[in-house]
Amino acid sequence: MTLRREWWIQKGLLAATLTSVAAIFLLLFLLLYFSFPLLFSGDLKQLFSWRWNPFEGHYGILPMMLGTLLLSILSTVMAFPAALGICAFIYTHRNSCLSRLLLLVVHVMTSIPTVIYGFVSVFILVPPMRRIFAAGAGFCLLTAALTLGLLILPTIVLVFHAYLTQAGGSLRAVSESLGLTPMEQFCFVMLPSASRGLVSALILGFCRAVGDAMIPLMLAGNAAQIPASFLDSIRTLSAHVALVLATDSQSMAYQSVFASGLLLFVMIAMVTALAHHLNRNMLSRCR
Amino acid sequence: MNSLSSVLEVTNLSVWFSERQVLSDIHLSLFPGELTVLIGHSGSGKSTLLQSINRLNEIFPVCRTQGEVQLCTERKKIRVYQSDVPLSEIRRRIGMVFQTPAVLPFSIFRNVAMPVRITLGYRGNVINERVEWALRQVSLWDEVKDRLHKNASTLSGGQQQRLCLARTLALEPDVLLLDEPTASLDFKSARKIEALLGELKTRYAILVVSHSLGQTLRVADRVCVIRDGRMVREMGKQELRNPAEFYRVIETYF
Ligand SMILES: Nc1ncnc2c1ncn2[C@@H]1O[C@H](COP(=O)(O)OP(=O)(O)OP(=O)(O)O)[C@@H](O)[C@H]1O
Ligand SMILES: [Mg+2]
Repeated sequence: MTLRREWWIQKGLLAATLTSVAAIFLLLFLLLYFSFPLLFSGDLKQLFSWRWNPFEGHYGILPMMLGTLLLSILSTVMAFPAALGICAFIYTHRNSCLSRLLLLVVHVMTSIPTVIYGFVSVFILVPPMRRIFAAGAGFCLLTAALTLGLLILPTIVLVFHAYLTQAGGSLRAVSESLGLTPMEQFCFVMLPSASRGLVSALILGFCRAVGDAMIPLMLAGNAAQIPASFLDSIRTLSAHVALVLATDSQSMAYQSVFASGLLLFVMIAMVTALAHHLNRNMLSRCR
Repeated sequence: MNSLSSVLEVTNLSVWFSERQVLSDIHLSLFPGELTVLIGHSGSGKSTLLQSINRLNEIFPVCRTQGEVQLCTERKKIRVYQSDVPLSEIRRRIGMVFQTPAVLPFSIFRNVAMPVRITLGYRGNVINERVEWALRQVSLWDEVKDRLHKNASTLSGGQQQRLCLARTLALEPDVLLLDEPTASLDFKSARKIEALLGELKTRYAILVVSHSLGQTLRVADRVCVIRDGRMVREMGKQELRNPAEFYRVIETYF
């Protein structure tokens, strides 16, 4: 009876795993397939150039790649200290109402649709940005990074918090018994021993930032250029895909979408692989 | 005769977990130069008693404690549950080693050095000396001196237990609370720890939880029997000198 049930569970899990693996490979295959003509024609060099001006026949997507990298890194860098602070607060005030409330707010934040973040930012963040810096329209790298940072904040907090609670119980008792205050526990015991969790959380947040299209589309201004400052408009790969697909379906511009997709895919795969590698290294150092 | 100079005094201590009373009206005194052994059934409240002495039970939100614990050091008296002395100092002065070895997931060196640096505020070479001193105390130095920077979890269970003891000793406690320090050790390492306890008790007041009656007879200056959260019997040196009598008492009270 139980054996039979186990058999079904096993097969079910196997099927689910295979399906998701197959889906990923299919995705990769399709991306490759569609960008194939591009990759092996002379257009490739055109694609990987720094100029995007479809009306004059320049189809370079490198500015978008730079935009994606800048925006994701900047927003992760901004979300990191905030996430660390929130986790520290929740850890050091673990039984207080305030920390429970904070955790609840963070949970709720994850369920707010991305478009709301963008929408609210357009009205709340963009005007003061325009006024304070008195440059441009307020739709720029910094505005998008601030909003995107807020968007990936709950992801980082929740993943790291889960690590902390998982590693927490016995470590906390030990460090209490050694006379460490809650803040000292967090800094000198929890943080070092959950550093793997922190890296995972940051990577996850970063990948979310790379993949997000809505925020840069709504807030970054979408000029396909190399930004000279944080106040310049940028375009990301994801926003580029969305923009071109919405307007065009034939030209070289259309083709660049597949290359963008492929590039996004490769970037995220590389970051994930790097994270995996880091984690394994840290693990073996601990042993 | 030395009742005047007790290092630690527990009076009227009761502990509840949620609504369940786990300890009732415990009285206990620890004296310098004496090793007190606490024995009792599994679940009788031994670990809970140890934890309520250094207020470690406060990390369980459902735990409620009543009564008084007083720590008398050379210079001052600290009322553990009402004092304005910071909790971290209380924890440092009342050193505790857990029932299961609980090393931090760091290197052997850092396990001892980090608390010394943070709680005692020591810096530089003093820390290295202190670490070596503590590891020598528990006769672990020779075993680990070549791999101080390996992760502490690479040590055997017994070595880990001794490392935890060293970590506690390095913080210069006044009182030692040891929860079954030999539970995970083979008989030879256990004997080593017992010998060590004999040395340590000249400098610290020690309270040890033990499950082994033989061990109790070997190391104890005083024995307290706890049953269902009550202290039911206390035996002094006189009674312990006569093993037959000891076993008879245990038969009746355990
Ligand atoms: N965190 C906790 N929450 C609720 N109940 C607890 C908790 N810790 C201990 N107890 C209860 O308190 C009682 C005493 O437990 P304690 O750990 O002190 O026993 P013990 O004498 O140390 O046993 P052992 O010899 O097995 O270690 C047990 O009945 C246990 O269920
Ligand atoms: Mg116990």
